[in-house]
Amino acid sequence: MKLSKVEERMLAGDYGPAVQKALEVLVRVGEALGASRLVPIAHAHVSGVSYFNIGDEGLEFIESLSRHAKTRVFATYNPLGVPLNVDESPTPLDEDVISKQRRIVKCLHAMGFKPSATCAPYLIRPPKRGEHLAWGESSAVAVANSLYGACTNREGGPLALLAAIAGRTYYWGMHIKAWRVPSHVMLVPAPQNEVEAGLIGYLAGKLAERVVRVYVAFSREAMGNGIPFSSAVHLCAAAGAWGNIALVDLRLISGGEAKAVGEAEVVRFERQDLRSALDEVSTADLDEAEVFYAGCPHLPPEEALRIIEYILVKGIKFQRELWLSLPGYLLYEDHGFWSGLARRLLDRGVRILFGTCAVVSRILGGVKVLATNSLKAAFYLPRLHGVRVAVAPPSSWLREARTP
Amino acid sequence: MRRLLYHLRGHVDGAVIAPLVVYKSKLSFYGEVNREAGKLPDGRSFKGRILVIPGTKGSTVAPYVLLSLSKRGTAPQAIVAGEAEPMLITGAVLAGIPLASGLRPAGLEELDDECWCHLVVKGAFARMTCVCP
Repeated sequence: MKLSKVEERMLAGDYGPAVQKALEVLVRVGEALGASRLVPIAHAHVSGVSYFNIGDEGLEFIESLSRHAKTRVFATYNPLGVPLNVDESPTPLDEDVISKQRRIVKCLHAMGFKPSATCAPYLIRPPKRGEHLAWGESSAVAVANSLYGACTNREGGPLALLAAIAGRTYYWGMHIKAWRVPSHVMLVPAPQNEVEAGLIGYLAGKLAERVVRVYVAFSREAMGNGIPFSSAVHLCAAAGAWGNIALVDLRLISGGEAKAVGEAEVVRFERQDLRSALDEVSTADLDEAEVFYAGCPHLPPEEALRIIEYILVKGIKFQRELWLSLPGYLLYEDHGFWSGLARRLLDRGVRILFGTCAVVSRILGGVKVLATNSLKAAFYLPRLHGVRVAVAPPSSWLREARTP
Repeated sequence: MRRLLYHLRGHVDGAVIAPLVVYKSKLSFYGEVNREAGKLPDGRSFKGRILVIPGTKGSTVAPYVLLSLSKRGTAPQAIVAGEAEPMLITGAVLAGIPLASGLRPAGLEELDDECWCHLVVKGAFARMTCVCP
């Protein structure tokens, strides 16, 4: 691998042992993959920070690293194993776990990480077009590549953390233009809501499996000006969870005819296919669900406020609870607004959970059946927590709560 | 007595002479490995031996586990894999465990726990000479 002068000095230890180790890992992994050089990054986003995911070994590693390491670039981290508003957790959490999770966060902040605790780092710092990033978190990776035109691979385990310390990552995969060519072309009907958008992502994930290039075409007649950002995020997140897709090239086409790109084959999907996809991913009925879970990936604050406003204005009180998971940075920068709102909503059957999610934590506790609008959650929750999932848009939950 | 020679791909430098422990399926360091004793899922110990595996699978926590093994002194002397995935390389670099890859399935078949090997990894190249009964 060809290194710049600065990188060679980093590798020689001139920038301290942490940078040296980080660079050594990036070079070794890059060389094994066939990368020719490293590339400076603008933003690192670290995924494995939940104590449940990384355990004592991860805690030990992050603690020893934080003693002599600092981030060289803007850096954020993923949701935690416990909500930031611990007192409002639906399931009581172990004191030991809470304190260990706090130690992990303390180390991250000491290294210079922005207090973030979210799987939607693009809400904190929207990536620029063509910018190089080192992000973990599959849904954020798909969103950055697809909706922002930035370049990032899925940096697993401690790789994103080491990239944050080195300020660079290996130049390979999605960083190279030639890799960002679609392998499949999908022609799909226009999604009516985020669930249908998620189902398209699910079909993309099934179609391309491990291949990371998918091109989705919509018909303009049905779409108007395009699909809302939140639907596009759901699509990307589902594609990232059900396949290993890192780039979904979303195009609106007016004629309704998809063009083949290079050697990519064109596959056509009808509304009927979305319906049968919904049957495939649903393992329960909405009637059976004990809670409705929204916020996977984390809800943007504006969208959460829209839902909350609706609930307050209509005076809705949920018999079966509604859980919303929101980015942790809202609570870090809070002046009593969000924490007050969360407390106020509790007696309406709405639980707001900051900086965590049902996937990486154990907040689900004894919940057996859950409803969600997220196809990403529908992939992980049955596999990791053994719950059955009903997939539906939140409007169905609201409608039901309103009818006496 | 058989003498065997392998030319491999180097990932983490080092030179060791040690007996082998050959595990024939892909190993997940997180969940499958006993950290306190340094043991494989079938109970065999890899502590102080060269661990030979076709590859690794599963969790991205693997690097942390390798680091923890080396801190406890229960890590293998070196790892020789059929295929080295990014998480295995990351773990081996962090834990300072010599690592080589590119061992063919046939090589995995002819080696066993009775073999003693001399592994030298330097840069992109590695060489393992083995003596098996």
